[in-house]
Amino acid sequence: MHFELNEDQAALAEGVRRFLTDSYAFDQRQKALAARDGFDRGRWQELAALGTPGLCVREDAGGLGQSLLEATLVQAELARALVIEPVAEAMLAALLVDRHASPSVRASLLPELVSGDQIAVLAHTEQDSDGLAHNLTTKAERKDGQFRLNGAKSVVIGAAEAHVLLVSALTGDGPVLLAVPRNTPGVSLRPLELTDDRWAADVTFVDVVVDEEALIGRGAEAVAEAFDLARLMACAQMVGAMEQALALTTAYLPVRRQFGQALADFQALRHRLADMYVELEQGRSALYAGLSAALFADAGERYVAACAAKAQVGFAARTVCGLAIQLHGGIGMTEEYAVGHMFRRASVADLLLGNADAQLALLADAMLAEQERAEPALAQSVDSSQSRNRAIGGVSH
Amino acid sequence: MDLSPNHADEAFRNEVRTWLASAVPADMALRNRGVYHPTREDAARWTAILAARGWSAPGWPSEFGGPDWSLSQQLIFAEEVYLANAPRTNLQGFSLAGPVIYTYGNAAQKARYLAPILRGEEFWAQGFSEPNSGSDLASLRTRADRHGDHYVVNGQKIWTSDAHKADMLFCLVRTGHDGAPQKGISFLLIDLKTPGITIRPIRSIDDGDGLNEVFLDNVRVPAENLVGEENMGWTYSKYLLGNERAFTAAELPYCRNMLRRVRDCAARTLRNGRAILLQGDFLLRLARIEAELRAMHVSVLRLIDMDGDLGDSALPSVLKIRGSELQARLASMMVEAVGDHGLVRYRGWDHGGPVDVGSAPPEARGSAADFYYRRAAAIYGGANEIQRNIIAKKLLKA
Repeated sequence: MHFELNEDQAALAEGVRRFLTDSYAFDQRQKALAARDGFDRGRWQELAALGTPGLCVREDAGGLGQSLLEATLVQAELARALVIEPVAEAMLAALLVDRHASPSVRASLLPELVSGDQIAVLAHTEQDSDGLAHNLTTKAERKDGQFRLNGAKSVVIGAAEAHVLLVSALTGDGPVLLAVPRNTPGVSLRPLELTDDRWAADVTFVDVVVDEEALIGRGAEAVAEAFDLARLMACAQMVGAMEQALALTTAYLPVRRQFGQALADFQALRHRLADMYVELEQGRSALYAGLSAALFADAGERYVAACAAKAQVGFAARTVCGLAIQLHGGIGMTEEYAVGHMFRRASVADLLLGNADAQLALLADAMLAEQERAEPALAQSVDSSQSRNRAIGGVSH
Repeated sequence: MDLSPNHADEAFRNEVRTWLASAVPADMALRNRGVYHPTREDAARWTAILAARGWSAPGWPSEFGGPDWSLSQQLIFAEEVYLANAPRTNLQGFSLAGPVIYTYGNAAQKARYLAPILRGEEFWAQGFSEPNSGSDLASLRTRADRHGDHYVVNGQKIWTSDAHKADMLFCLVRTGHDGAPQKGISFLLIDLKTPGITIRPIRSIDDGDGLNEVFLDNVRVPAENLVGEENMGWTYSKYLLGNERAFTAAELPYCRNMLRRVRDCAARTLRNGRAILLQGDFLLRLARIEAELRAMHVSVLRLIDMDGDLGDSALPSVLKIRGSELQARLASMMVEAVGDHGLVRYRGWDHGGPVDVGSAPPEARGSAADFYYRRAAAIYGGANEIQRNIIAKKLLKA
């Protein structure tokens, strides 16, 4: 493995960062937020013009043909700048359509997604399914060349702006991923404002009928893969937020003076800054480990690595962004200063798709399953209720 | 950035694993299955076996008798050696004395000292810390005064790991008394049989006697045993500590091996009829360590990939801090996994060998000693608080 960005990767990250610094600086963002009247399509088109939605779409469909790795670089930048438009979500959804849709859907839908004229987002999370494909409570019935969809998804970021929802559902033949136009009869949204200034919605599906063409992913594997990639995107966003939180804190400590000296001269504070760095770097490594598995390992290892990464990065993000507030003191608690926003963005990214504790429980289940294969006697002493949905408690670490 | 696994490394792992399967003598593997420190006899015998294969000094270039392995190959080798229950070899010789001698020593020193390290014939100890110079090593006071073709050394070293089993001491001594304390330090190679040296073992809380005080009273050391130039010892030792921190600090091979052992033991050991693995938050705590170790593995690969060019990164300190914390957590969970016998005093091989552990899991041997011993990981090689100072200095550039 090699970890230094190559020229193209560095240029990509730098380009996005420069654009966001120029056009999405924190004060500009705050002003735009205050004046906000719904979704700002002009702003969305500017972000899409960077090539973000089609970043990982193959070039024959007009995309930039980049890998997940490049996607995470851009996602980190979007989080650093506290972008509220669903760019990250659209990027993942376009990637999934590109990989799994039928040739005709690819041909008709992808150019619209790549240009930003239409937005697709993944609608997968359900509070009761832990994100696991075989546990989905949203059901799809397949009959006469159509799917009839019933169920609900919670806190889908970008659902209100989206034209197409990529919905995971369980059929008699196993899980599927369906591309459902948002204006299909039976789809209803309950908009939710998230604490990091983004918009989401709870989405319900009542007898929603779509045709065969809507099938863009078949089998547990396609659904599981979508969810694992979503986990890794969330990790990248948390890494971006942590980087910015550490950068802001590092810049603040030498400037702020108390008791006649700079905060940077208090060893207690220096050590906490160092703790932030340790967590950030371990979190970054966790993201790379998850990415490496998603790019090169089999499905089982990809899943375990993604859970481990989101656990590690989630715990790290709580620590790093929390300490960033602490080291700023009162100013860190204010709306007008960016560091508190990093904590909010990281907290949302941690919570959605299952927080660090939930990911840890999934990892523990996977470890237990492996141990049971090695030692069948152990399996007998595990009652079935324990291995799934283990009580998730505070873990000392 | 390219996150593809290196397939050549996996082929290397297989080669090493295959060889180790038949190379470690059965009796030796049995003695070193636990986490006791190996006896000198086992360490010497194993070093000789490795030397015959050309593998005793994984980190050395071929010019000096090493196998020219990349850092990632060295990491793989260290993991496989652990898995094969082979004893640890003389770290101070292979990772510290040897590299300083072949990097800064003269031709005569290389000819005299390297081969006996490679073959396991001479063991080394590190004479750095002193009673009043621990983390603040540059304040050391053991002095060496030049008298003709000898240095006369007076002073005291402490925490000298394995000095009681060693033949040679590489030692930081004060030769200059003006200017910054770092400027007057030299690097001397001292034969531990020289008159005037007294070694007093210090009993440690893990019942080990690996730590020692070394008293130097008018010890005459030939001037030819000075490494490099006089008063340049601090520079050489920084290179050493860099070596120590860069690669061994995380103790990834130990941690990965321990995670597996803790898991296996806790799955087999019952309490109230149920495996300890399934009790309370045991499995969740283990999963937390699994997540950390997966990240740590990549952190180590990142450091290897930097190839010595750290730039603004303080990654070695990250590995030292988090690696030592993980060692302590794993050693502590091993004690839990063993059950009621976790803290029974089953002595190591240097003290007559472990007695019968009765119905306790075999991991009871050595788990208590290791649990106590691992507290030291956060202290040696630059205490974790020193590492935090290093990180903060890098971040704040002041």
